Amino acid sequence: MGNANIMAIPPLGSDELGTEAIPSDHYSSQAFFEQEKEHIFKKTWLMAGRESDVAEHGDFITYFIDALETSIIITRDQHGQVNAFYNACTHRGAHVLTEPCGKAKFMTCDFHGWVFDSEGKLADVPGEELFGDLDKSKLGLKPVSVDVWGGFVFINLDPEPSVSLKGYLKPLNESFDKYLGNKDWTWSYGWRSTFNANWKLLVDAQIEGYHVDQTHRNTIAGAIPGTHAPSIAYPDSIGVPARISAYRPEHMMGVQTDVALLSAKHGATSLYTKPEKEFSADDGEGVLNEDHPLWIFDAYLLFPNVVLFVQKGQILVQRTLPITPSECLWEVDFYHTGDVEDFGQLFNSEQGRIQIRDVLTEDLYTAEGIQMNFNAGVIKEIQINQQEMPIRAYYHRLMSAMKGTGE
Amino acid sequence: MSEVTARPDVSDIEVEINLWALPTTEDRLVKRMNSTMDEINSFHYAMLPKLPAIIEYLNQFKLTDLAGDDLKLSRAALAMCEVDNAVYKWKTPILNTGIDTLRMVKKSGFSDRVIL
Ligand code: FES
Ligand SMILES: [Fe+2]
Repeated sequence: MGNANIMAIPPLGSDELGTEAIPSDHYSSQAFFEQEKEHIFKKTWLMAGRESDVAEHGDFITYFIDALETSIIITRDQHGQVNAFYNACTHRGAHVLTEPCGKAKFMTCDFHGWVFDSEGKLADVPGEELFGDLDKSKLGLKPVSVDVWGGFVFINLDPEPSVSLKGYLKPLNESFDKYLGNKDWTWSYGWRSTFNANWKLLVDAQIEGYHVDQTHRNTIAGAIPGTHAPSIAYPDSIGVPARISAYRPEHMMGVQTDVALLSAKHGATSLYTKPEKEFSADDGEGVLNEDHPLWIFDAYLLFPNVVLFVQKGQILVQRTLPITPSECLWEVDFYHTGDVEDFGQLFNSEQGRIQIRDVLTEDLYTAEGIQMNFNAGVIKEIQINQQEMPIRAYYHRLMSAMKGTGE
Repeated sequence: MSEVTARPDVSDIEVEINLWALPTTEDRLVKRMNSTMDEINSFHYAMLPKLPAIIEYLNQFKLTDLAGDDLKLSRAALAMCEVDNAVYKWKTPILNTGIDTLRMVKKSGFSDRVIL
C-alpha cells in the first residue's frame, strides 16, 4: 500500500459526522455532568485493572470512580474466575478493602470484622447470634458486571449491560485480544495527576494529529509530522469511535540525538525511535502495521475515557476519570515485554520514559486554559477540521450515549 | 561469552559524574530543573564522548550486580537521558511549553490508587 493511501485523511463530514462547530457546554455544564454519570459511567464498560494483577486466587485490586463515589473490588476466586463487587460491606456500609491491591482469600471489613470470600459470599460474622436470624446467603457483596479483554479487566455498573465487552470493543477483534493479553507484557511505569479540566479534554488531546507540529515543537514535532497522523472513524462501533495512527516522516526532521540513537540499540521504549530489537509479544496478526516501514503506533479511543496506544514492544494506556465537570484524574501506564536486566535495557527504558514524560507535559499544558474559557462562557463552540475528526466521532458517540440507549 | 569490555577511563570527568549520579529519575529531574544551562552543558559534553563505551561496559553486567563506582557511573549515564532535551531542543533547563513535570506523580503499578 502506498503512503498516499495510508496517510489519507477522511473528507470533512464523512461517516455522517457533520461539519458544524461543536458546542462546548458538555465540557462545563453541571447538568450535563450529572447526565454523564447516569448514562455513561453507570452504563458503559470501563477499564478498571489489569488481569495479571489478579493472577491468583485471593489477589484483589480496587478501582474508584470519583464522580460516583463508587469503589469497586476485583478479585480472583478459587475457581479461577475474575469477579467484581461494590466495595461496600453489607453490615453497615463500610469499605471492605482500603488498599489499592493485595492478596486476601477472605476479605475482612475493618469496622466489625465481617468476612467475605473472593466470590463475594459472606463467610463469617463475628457474634452472629447477636443478629438473631441472619441469612448470610443474602448478604454477599453486591456484584458488578465484569469481563476481561486484551488482558485488561473492564467493569460495567449496569447489572445487565446492553452489549458484551467483546461486542462493545468491535472492530478490535481476537487478534487484539491476543496481542494485548500476551502474558509477557509487564507494567513498567506510569504517572497520575489531577487537572482543573473536564475529563474529556485530556482524551481530546491524544486523538488528533493536528496539534503535533505546534504543541510538540520543543520535543517530537519532527519525528511525527501532523500530516503523518491519519485517523479513521468506526461509525458502527459502540465502544471504539475512532483511531489515530502515527507514522515517521520519510526523512527524519528535528534532532535525533546521540542519546536517542544509543538508546535505540537496546530496545524500543521510545515511541519515536525505530527499534533494533525483536519482541516476545509478536502475535499481533493484523494488529501491528509492520508492513509499513514508517508506522509507529495506532491509538484507539475506547469510549468513554481510554486512549490505548498499540505498538511493537509497547502498550500505553491513558485513562481519565471525572471528579467534577471542571476537574479530573489523569493516568498513563506503560507495558513492555521482557524484564529490564542489563544496563542497555535500563538506558533504553530511561530514555523512552523521559522522552514520553516531556511530551506528555506538553499534551497536558493546554487543557486547564481551555476549561477556563469554557467555564467563563467566552468560548461557546469549537471548530473541528479534517485532521481532528476523532474528536467529532467522540462527540457523536457521547451524544448518542447520552440519549440513554446504552448504545 | 563474548569478549570482556574494559572499563573506560573516566577519571578526568569524575567531578561531573559525582554531581549527577543521583539514585532516581526524579532526583535527576530535580537536579536538571535546578541547574543552569552552563552546568547542564558542562555535564553533557564531558560525558558524551565516553557514553557509548560506558554503556557497552556497564551492559556486561546484570543490573543487580552493579555496585560501587559502576553503580555511580550508571546513574550518571542515565542522567544523560534527563538532560538531552535541555541541551539539544530547549536550550534552557526547563521546558516552558509544558506543565510542571513535578505535577506528574510517579505510579507504582496499574492499580495503585489509595482513595481514603
Ligand atoms: S460495616 Fe463492615 S463489619 Fe460492620
Ligand atoms: Fe500530543
